[in-house]
Amino acid sequence: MRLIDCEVSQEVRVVGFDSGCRAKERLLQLGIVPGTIIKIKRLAPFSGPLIVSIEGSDVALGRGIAKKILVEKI
Amino acid sequence: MRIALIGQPNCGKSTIFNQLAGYKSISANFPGATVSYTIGKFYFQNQAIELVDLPGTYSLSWYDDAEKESVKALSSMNFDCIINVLDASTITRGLELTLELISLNKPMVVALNMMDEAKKKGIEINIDKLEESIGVKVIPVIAKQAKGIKDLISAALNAALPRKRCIYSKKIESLIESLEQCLEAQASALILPPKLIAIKAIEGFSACEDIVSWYPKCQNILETARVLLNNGADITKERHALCLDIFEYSARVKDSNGLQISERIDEILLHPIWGYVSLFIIFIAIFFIVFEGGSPFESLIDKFFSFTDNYLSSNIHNAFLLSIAKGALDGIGAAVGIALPYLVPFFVILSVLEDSGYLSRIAFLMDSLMHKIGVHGTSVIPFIMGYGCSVPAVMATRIIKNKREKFISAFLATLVPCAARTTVIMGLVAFFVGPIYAILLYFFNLIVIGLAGGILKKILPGINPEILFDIPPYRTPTIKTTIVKTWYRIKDFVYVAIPLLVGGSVVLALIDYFSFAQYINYAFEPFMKLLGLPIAVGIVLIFGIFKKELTLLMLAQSLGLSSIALVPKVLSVEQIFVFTIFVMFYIPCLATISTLYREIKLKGTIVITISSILIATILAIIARILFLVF
Repeated sequence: MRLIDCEVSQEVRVVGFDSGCRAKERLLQLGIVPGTIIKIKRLAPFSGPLIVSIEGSDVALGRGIAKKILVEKI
Repeated sequence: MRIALIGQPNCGKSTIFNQLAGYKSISANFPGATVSYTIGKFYFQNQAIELVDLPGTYSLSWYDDAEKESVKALSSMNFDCIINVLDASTITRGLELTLELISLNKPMVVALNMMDEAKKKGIEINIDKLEESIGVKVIPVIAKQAKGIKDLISAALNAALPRKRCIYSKKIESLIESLEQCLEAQASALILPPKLIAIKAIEGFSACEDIVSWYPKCQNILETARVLLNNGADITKERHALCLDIFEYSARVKDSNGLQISERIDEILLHPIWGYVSLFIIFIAIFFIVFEGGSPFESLIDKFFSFTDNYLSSNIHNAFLLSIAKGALDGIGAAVGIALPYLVPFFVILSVLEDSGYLSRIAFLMDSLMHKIGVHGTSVIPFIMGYGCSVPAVMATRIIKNKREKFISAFLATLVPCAARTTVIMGLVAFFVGPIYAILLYFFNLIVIGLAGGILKKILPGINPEILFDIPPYRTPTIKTTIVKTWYRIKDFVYVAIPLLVGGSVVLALIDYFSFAQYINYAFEPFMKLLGLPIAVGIVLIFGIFKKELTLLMLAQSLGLSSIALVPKVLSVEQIFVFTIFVMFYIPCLATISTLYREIKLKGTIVITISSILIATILAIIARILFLVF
């Protein structure tokens, strides 16, 4: 499943990234690394970006990127 | 002795810099780039130290122009020591950069900042254990309170090379080494140290892969390494695991007390409804403080300059010299009149927005809307400021890192009618034609900006990536950092704007002295005919470039009217509209042009200036045709 399909505040584990995910490098830098636990904290209205919480810090990312992050339920 | 400060965004790097170098620093641009860094000189134990504050970067692979310059500077600027600033409250993430910096093999010290914030979060770090596991001297600091800063500098002066050369597992290190040696043997004048290129290329960072691909022998080694290391992902994973290990070894996490304050504030400020309501109120407040708060000072400054003007008039008896002196004085007056009353409060607010962490939240809230015109949420600040004055608006584009986005934002911000253009819209259209038409003009302006943004988004090369940044917790900005930041920005403006404004206004004085106005009007005659405006208006538009506040006054004067109230006797409704639309879009004023030059360089400035004339002319002609048809 993809990060974008998760419920707000549902905890999931990052599995990997879609191929062609240009932002992969930056996602890794921000701590969104396969194996880590991540949850959506809030969504901006009008199909805006979302804020995810990861290892105690918050990251804002666009929905297109969230579509490319593969996650699994825990 | 030259020391670099490097760290991830929001780690408090600039606070450390300001504690050390403070007011005596200057900002400089990287050669050939619009990205700037700050450099400061100070003495410590009788030793002259040059401290360079590099733009924040998450890792040594870059994602935007600022990060690229930071990474390049690390190897090209010959630093005697690198101070790596690490945010203790997000230490796992920060360590990734630290581990990469270690591979540069330069004398290095870690400044473990925000110890207080980490404590609040329940994180307790054992400095000795951390030092032992990374092999680099670690100095705990609380930059805001200037704690540990002196220890940091003395540690930097005695900094040693990292004790651990190899941080990855044997298999990975040997692959890195073979690629590194190949690069060392084959390549010369690399922009980065070969070891770093080797690591980054194996990890799949395209800029470094490109470098390796120039050397076929090394390319082969790279390909083998990538196959063996699961496309390079093993390095990334290992580094991340290493960071977690270091954290677990050297830190203890206690339960922090309940929901953090930041979270509670965000419940309101990022709420789908209240978030926007608060944003709106905050914008109104900023606008009010900047433009209403500034105007009493402006009239004071005006008084001072008209007093000086009178003084010059009564003391200089040569008419030619007098007009030059008055012109120069006008120029200084215009620069000071913008800088002190409006720019000072604006920069203070901008710096508070940045340092408190609210700016990244504005970016989050406004992103969806701003994305449609090719920019990110942060660009909303230049737009809002544009309604007051284009100068702070253009200067606000400094917070935008991406070159293309910065250009689009600066372009669109200059199309927003500033207060001076508002006087024309209000004084002509609202007063003589009706307020509703003035409001319609504002809507029309928004549509034009939207269209221009859409077009720029299409024609400018480059992708429009989605936002991806970290949201820092709310922090109280320090007074010192705010003052220092404001001071730099004002200094920048004054240096660039004063010569241009003084020059421009002396030219205007000369035009006046030699009665050139009529020749200029002749030169503009065909253009005025095209727009269907009286020929005498030509000179008004020229003066408007210098200072748009003068437009309305000059219009009455040049039409030979004793007051603006008589304008409808000379100009038809059609002409009022055409003139107003033209003034709304044409050329940014000189102060704005000089600011544009400072922010986006010559080429961008010329493009914006010429496009604005074209947009104004085309729209004015369309307006005229519409009037002829209906």
